[in-house]
Amino acid sequence: MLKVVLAGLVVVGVTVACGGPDATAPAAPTEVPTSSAETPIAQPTATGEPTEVPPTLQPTTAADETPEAPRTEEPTAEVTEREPTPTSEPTPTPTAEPTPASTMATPTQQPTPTPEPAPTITPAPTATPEPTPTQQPTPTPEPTPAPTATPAPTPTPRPTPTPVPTPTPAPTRPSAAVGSDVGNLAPSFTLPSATGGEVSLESYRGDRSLVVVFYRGFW
Amino acid sequence: MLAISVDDLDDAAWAVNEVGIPFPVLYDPSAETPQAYDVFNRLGDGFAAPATFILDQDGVIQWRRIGRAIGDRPRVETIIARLSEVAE
Repeated sequence: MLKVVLAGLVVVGVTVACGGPDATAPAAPTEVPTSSAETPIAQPTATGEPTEVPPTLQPTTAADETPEAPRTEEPTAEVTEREPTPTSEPTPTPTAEPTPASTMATPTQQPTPTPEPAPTITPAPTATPEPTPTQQPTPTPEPTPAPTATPAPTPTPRPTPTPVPTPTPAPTRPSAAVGSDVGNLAPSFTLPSATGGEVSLESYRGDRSLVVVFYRGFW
Repeated sequence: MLAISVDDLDDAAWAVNEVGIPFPVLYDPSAETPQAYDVFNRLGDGFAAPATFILDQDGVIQWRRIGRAIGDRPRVETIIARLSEVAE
């Protein structure tokens, strides 16, 4: 009986072994995608950064954390952005960045150099995981930029008041004395007109040159 | 152009109607305006001497000509030339 049982176990073991190779075979493909996924991760760093740079994402706590994690190595651009938003940045950046950056960075860098032929296949899987992190940050940062924008306008109005130099040197009117000589301000008058009404010299001032003729009797 | 006379209204109106003067003709029987321009009784006849003043747009006298006789008046061409100089 024991032999029968052992024989049955051997058969089962053989079947299992046969099934085993099948299972191992799929395992190999799974590794391929992982390698491809790693290569995309390197790509996301490049793609994700430009998108994040323009908006001030760091104010947004959760969204910024995921994109920033892979970029701990590239500090310059992010550092400038972080400075404006002081409060929320310190807490999220340290916690989120170290964990994902360390885990993701190590696997991604190792596979990328080895499988060069894989790149054709890699783009498809890589694209799917990356967009999710990028999309998440974009919606959340939008509300935060609003507060950042409000401080910006406040400095702009400041320059406008500064160019308030007094541009009121309009009084170009001659301060000539009133008289009848050349260079004098002509004496003003308001006289009745032969055709009705009155005419004043001031009514012609500022319009154009004027000829005043004193005539006598018959022309 | 403004013409000022020490005539009364009837004489001023007559000049406008008969001569067809296209510009305002003012009359000042009191002669206050000719006196302000220092042209009154220059000929010793109790009237304003014939005189022409060119004012710029600010009312400053740029050129003047005061006649020494009743018919001593500048030519029209002269007035136009002076006006052109003032306008420049």
